Amino acid sequence: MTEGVLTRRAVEPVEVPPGPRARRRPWRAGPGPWLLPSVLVLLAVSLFPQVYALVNSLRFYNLGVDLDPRGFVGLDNYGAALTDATFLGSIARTLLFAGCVTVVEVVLGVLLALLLRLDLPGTGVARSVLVMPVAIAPAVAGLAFRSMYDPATGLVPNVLSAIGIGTPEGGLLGDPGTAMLAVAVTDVWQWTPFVTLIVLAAMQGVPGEVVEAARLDGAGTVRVLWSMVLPLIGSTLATVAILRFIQSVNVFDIFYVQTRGGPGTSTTTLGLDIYFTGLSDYNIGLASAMTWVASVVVAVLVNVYLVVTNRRNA
Amino acid sequence: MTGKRSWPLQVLMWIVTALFAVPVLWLLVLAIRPSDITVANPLDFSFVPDLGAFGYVFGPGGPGMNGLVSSLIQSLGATAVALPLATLACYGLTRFEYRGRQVIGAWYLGLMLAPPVVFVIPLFILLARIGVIGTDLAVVIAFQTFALPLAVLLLRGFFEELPVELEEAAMMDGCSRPRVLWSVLLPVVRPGLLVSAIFAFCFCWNNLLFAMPLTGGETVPLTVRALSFFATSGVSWSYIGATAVVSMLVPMLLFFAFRRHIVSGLTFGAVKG
Repeated sequence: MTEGVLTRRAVEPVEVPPGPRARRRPWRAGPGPWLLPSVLVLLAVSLFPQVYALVNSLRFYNLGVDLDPRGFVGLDNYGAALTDATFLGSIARTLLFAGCVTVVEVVLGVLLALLLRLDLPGTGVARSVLVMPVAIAPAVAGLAFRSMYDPATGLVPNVLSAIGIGTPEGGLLGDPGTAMLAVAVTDVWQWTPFVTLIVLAAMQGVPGEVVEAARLDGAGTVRVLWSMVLPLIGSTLATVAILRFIQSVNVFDIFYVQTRGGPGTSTTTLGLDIYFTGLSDYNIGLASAMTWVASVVVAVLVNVYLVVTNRRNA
Repeated sequence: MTGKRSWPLQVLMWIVTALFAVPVLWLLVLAIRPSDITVANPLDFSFVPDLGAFGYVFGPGGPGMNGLVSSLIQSLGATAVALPLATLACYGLTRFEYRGRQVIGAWYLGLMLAPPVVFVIPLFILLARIGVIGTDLAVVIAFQTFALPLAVLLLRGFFEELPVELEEAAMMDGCSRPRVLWSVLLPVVRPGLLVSAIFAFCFCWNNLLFAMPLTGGETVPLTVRALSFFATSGVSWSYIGATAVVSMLVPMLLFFAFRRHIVSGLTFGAVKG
């Protein structure tokens, strides 16, 4: 539960203590009326559904059996979720996927940023090209790669076979051994440029004269990067790494478009498992319990993110 | 890094750039290449471009035109709802000192980072209860889960940058706060409104997860429509290509036009561009 955990942080920021004037301020003259409309809308579209899911997670609610929820079953749905091999597998798979793509994207993103920072001829074109993956819908990115992976008409298998590398018979997305990697490549393609753009923006704050001076004092390229550039962009890098990790845990579109979790459950991520349990199997009770497990996992990550970004701003 | 030593790096940069362009170009090839060539010889790039797929998908009575209109209605609708609410919220977040201000800000950020699938299932049931599934309204409501927090987080940065002296002067002269917002703040914060609107619009435009279960028939937007060409009878790659190209053209042009704000937009204001 995102909100609950966030609210607990309320105690800790030691901002300006409300002076006597603030305490006497009538509600109407304060920020309340300004915040109320958006808070009400968000309570209705996000908090209320979450609470509703919490209630549903405690009862037998299967649209395939009955359109209305039946009695409360205690924590049975949670028990079922946490002993379900598919669900536990999807959590592990999702975390592994998120960890791998985050590391690859951050490393490649930084390297690419360093390359673009040299300002070689054509850097402008390269930067424009890098905006494309970031802009398009993940669903469309998924389609692009699905069409490129197609065993008969796709670019990748045909190019690979032309240079003598075989691909699995069921296609790159149809083989449990390669499907996860193939989808991960999609994610890396789409979000590495995002890291690059952020790092480039952060590196604008690195003063060129200081780097020049260090070079004159005999510091090599690696030394300059490690001791001067990295510390200056370190906090931005931490922010973007956690952000990418959280968003990769939340991943849905590229998997849905390319594999729908298959073959078998080899690419079933947390998001897909919940989606299919709720909207294909219609087991709302179980799916609701699963959403709460997922919410807790992500809430922990979100709080890590908040701590990191706050320290940066302080 | 100039002179002779730079040419290998330059070659490397061009190769990497080309690699990142390939998936986009491939979709374009699928869209304009006659489908019999795609099937018979996927590596043949010496074809005569054929706009027939665009004509079929986006022509009169074609499946894409409805999708395009739905995408526009839903994304514009959700943005139009989110922006005024976000403007009010940003005024409340930046023009008062009070305990808990950061908590509300963190709540908006938490909503942007929460797994969207968490909201989909309960929203689906609740929207089904009030009988709006399959309408544009259902999508506009569901999109608020991210469009509204995103607009707040982006707009807040613009509000914070503006000096409050002008507003204070106006209030000294007896202007009410709503009046100050309308006549003093809004005219100068217009670029911020535009940037927030553009990003909210693009996030809605690119959405698949909410649009998929909540739309049907006429209201299916482009992202979902593109998936419908995977039929059991065969995959229509040229239709998929045509739909995908139109779908990605819109956010690509908008992102390019607002590229100075991409970093801030995609980190929800956490990193300034």
